[in-house]
Amino acid sequence: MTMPPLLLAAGALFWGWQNDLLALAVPMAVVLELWRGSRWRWEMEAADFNRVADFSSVAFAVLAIYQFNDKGLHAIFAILRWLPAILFPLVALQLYSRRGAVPLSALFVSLRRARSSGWQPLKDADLRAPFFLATLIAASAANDRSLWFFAGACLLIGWALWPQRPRRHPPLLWGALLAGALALGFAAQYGLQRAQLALEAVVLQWMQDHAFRNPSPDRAMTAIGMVGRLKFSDRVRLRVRTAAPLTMPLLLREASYSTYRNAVWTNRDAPMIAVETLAGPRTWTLGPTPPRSARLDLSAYLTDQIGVVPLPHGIYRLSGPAVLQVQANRRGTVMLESKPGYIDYAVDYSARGFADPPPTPEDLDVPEVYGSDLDRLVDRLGLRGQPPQRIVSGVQAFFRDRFTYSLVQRGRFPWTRPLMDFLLNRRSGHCEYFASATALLLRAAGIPSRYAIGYSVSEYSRLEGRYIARARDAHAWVLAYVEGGWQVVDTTPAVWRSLEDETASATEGLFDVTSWLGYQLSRWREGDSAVQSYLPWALIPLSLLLMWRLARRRRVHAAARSTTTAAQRAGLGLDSDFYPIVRDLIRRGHPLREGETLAAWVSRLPEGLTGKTDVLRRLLALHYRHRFDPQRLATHDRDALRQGMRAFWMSVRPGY
Amino acid sequence: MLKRLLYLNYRYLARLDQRLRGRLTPAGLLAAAGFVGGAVFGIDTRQTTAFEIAALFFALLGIGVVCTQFGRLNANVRRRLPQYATAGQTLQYTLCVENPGGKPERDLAVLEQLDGGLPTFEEFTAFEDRDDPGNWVDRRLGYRRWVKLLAFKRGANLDAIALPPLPPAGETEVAVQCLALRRGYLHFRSTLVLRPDPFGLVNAMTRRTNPQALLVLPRRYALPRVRLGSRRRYQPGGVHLASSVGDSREFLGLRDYRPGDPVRHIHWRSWARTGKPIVKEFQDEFFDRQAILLDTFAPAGQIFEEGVSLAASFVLNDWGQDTLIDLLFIGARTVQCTAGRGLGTAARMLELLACAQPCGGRPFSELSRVLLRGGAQLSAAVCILLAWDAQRQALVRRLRAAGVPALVLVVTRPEDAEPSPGCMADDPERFLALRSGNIEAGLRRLSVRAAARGTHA
Repeated sequence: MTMPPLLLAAGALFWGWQNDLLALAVPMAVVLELWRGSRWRWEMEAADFNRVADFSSVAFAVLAIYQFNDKGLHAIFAILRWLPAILFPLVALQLYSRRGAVPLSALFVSLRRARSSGWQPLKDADLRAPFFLATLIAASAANDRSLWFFAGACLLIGWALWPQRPRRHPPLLWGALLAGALALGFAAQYGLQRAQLALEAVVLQWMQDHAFRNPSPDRAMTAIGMVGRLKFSDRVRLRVRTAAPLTMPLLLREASYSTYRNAVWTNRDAPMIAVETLAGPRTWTLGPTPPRSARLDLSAYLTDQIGVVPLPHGIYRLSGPAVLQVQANRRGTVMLESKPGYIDYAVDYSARGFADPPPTPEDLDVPEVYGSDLDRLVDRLGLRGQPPQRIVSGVQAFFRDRFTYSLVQRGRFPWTRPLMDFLLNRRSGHCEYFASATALLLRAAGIPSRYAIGYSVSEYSRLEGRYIARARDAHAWVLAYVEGGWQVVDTTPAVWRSLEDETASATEGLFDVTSWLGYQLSRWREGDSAVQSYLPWALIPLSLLLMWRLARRRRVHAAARSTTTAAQRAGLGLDSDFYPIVRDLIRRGHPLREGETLAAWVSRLPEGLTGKTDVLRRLLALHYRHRFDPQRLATHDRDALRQGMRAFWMSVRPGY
Repeated sequence: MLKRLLYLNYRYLARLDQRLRGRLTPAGLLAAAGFVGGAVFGIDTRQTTAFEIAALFFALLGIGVVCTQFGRLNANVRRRLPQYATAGQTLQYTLCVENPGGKPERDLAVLEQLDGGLPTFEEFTAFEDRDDPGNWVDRRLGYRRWVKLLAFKRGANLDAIALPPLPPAGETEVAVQCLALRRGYLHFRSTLVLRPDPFGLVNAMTRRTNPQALLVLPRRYALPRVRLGSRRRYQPGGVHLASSVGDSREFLGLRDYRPGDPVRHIHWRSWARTGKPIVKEFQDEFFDRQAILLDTFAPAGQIFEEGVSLAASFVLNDWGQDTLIDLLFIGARTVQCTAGRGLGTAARMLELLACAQPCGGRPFSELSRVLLRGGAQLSAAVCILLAWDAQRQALVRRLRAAGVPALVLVVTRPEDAEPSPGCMADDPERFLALRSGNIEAGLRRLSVRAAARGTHA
């Protein structure tokens, strides 16, 4: 492959520019091109190449160990970033050696021990083109999302391709085709990004539907920083029966978290502890009984034997016939132990009282990368030093007035601090953005707060006669500790619910019916359904039908068996009148040899004994026809066979 | 299980290589590598922008493939092969490429395709590369072994050769050079005519099927002139077995026909004159007859190949004008060939040796039986043995007991101990142990010993 002048240096500079390693790339570029103008060439033995290759290998190993120790799996990209620097000594040696190429034994240790037996001489390798490719790919490790990287790569690849072009095509055609290829490449890379988003959405959806149906009490991943449209399914996740119709959406919390890092909310030092206080059979007390309370009957789904369930704020009692154990942590998350599948439970709660314990220092934790910016924002909003209730109002007003709800995040992936980008620039996002930003902003203003996830229930299903919550009703909000109690602060614009509803599938109704039937079937198997009361009556016609089917089948089998036997015998010709005579003659000392045909046996019969062999042969022909002719014997022939055999038997019998 | 899995993978890769061979130019291979590298490092489009590199190379290769679908590629190819080639030496032949079209053709290249077939699983597991076993990973994975076996079966590795511009109805000749990797037949299957796309990445291809075979003779070693003995031995059956001309056809007289006399010896004129069959009688013949015995009772491998090469070298030894040479080995069948005095040629013997294979399970006694059957006619024998065990020593002992002096050459593995002369202890100068991989150096000792005995030229 022909390498055009200055291409290697350009590749090295491009790599250095992208990775902020120009101080290293510039001398490399000089060395990589200086050889053209210089006459310095060293006589290098294979051992010299081996030594330099070993040096590069050791450098690679040291770098790999260091990076994997430091960055874990992300070390792959850090190693990729340094790849040209590792390869450089070997390429430089090639350029300045008289040999002009690198022996393969330098690259493969096992080839160094190969004895020359005239088998096949080892070829040398020209590392210039692979090095150029390495600089291109290593430049991508900088992850520059601007168009500069793409443009630079196009330029370098076009430069490399120019000397390779066949001379039979005019340069204009080459240029036009290259432009087409670059345009196609741009479209392809854009398509790859979109395809990854689509795939991730599908996987996320699947995981939400199956693997993470019950969230973890310790960790909640958010979609903060992801680009594209969030899409949730219409699947019914929760069924709620209330004593009175809801006048406003009911927030049912699954879990709350206190620490935010890299788009993930976690809980530290919040183990799940079994609730031992029993108020009665299968009834657990989670807090003091308030003077006024309300009651909810819920039905959720457990993918495992134990899982987090959604509960209203202010819960103080929980009961369920199938619940085996209740666990809770100090962030107010409750897990139920039961058989996997649908679980019904009832809760008593009070809108005024919160069972959650008081805040901990983690509830004031603000990530370091956001600290100064959030402080400035708090000052700008005039929240510093304000009473807590006013701070909460100010924060709610800030989000209400200046932010919009959107399920779509545009732009080229924001690599760092997506939450600040949301707060200061885009000001548009989904509930996880709002809840996370609100929690951090409140903390920056001195209000302990937690990030809560769960469902917002407002849809009444006439099919089921109760409220339902779908996967798309999943919501995130904030709990703020104000004036000695935890208060719900939901800054997500109320329009979110209608926007989510717009994403409903056209087949939602059909799936609702399927889901309801599945739920009813499950309840019936558990023995808790109205269907069960009708079952004995349904069993009567079913039993009758079953009995009739069994009786009919037995008759058919019996008839089939008898007719089949007769037909088989007739079909095989085994009812021939020839056989009794054969059996008798065999018994009388004329055995049929193994494998001997009847014709051979008949011809072997002593003439003097029977005197009727010709007759027997004629009858044998009739027997063969009866036995093997697909058309079968006509009735008169069959009669002739029967009578002939009888006559034959009568004629020879006196001889015995 | 692992070996079979590896074998299936290698076979799949080899098939893929056969299909793609010639499809990509060197620059195209680099672009494909760029595509794979970009795809691997850019699999998560958030982590790096390598996926943009992959997309670019994908687009370039894709457009290259589309471009190769346009424009008819028209060229006829003829091949001019030499009569023989020699293993381990450069084979050179000529390809004549003709442009039958009315338009000039530029940037064409040709790629020869050899037909060797893919190794079977049994061949893959049985193939041992004692010369270069590689490191632990090589031995476990066996990929280098596979590549070597593949090339060995194919017989040579041929690269694409660029053609000069071809005018309309013009013709050009290009010299093709390659290293003949093994002896035996090279089967040329077809020639691919290649023309690159405008980027120079992907080739348009057309296949010209022109099957031909070329026999590659075994490699030979430089030998001193070896003479083992000049005692002429009686050759029963007459001279006609050796030649129809020369001093061996000494006419003695006429006698009556006896049953069993060859018809060619009937003297027709005397029969016509006397009315009864008369035959010509010839003088009994005494020749110098040397046997070259090749031990094929060893598995295929380097030692076997070196044995064959030794036999080929002795075939071409200057035995003298009147000497008959017998070559004897047991292959798939028993091969016994005589050359000299116009009966056969050394070339014929080399052809036989080019196709020699291990005997594959036949007993060693068969070789003894065949050799000793004609032992009384032999003046001397060169025994090329691949081991020095009891049965081989017994053969040599019986040969010498029959009065046939023997030069015994034993090829041994480098790591094996030097074998003791054994039954050749009384004539150690005619016993030579040759180290595999270092045969020629061992043969130089033969020269020194021959000089000491005065039996070389």
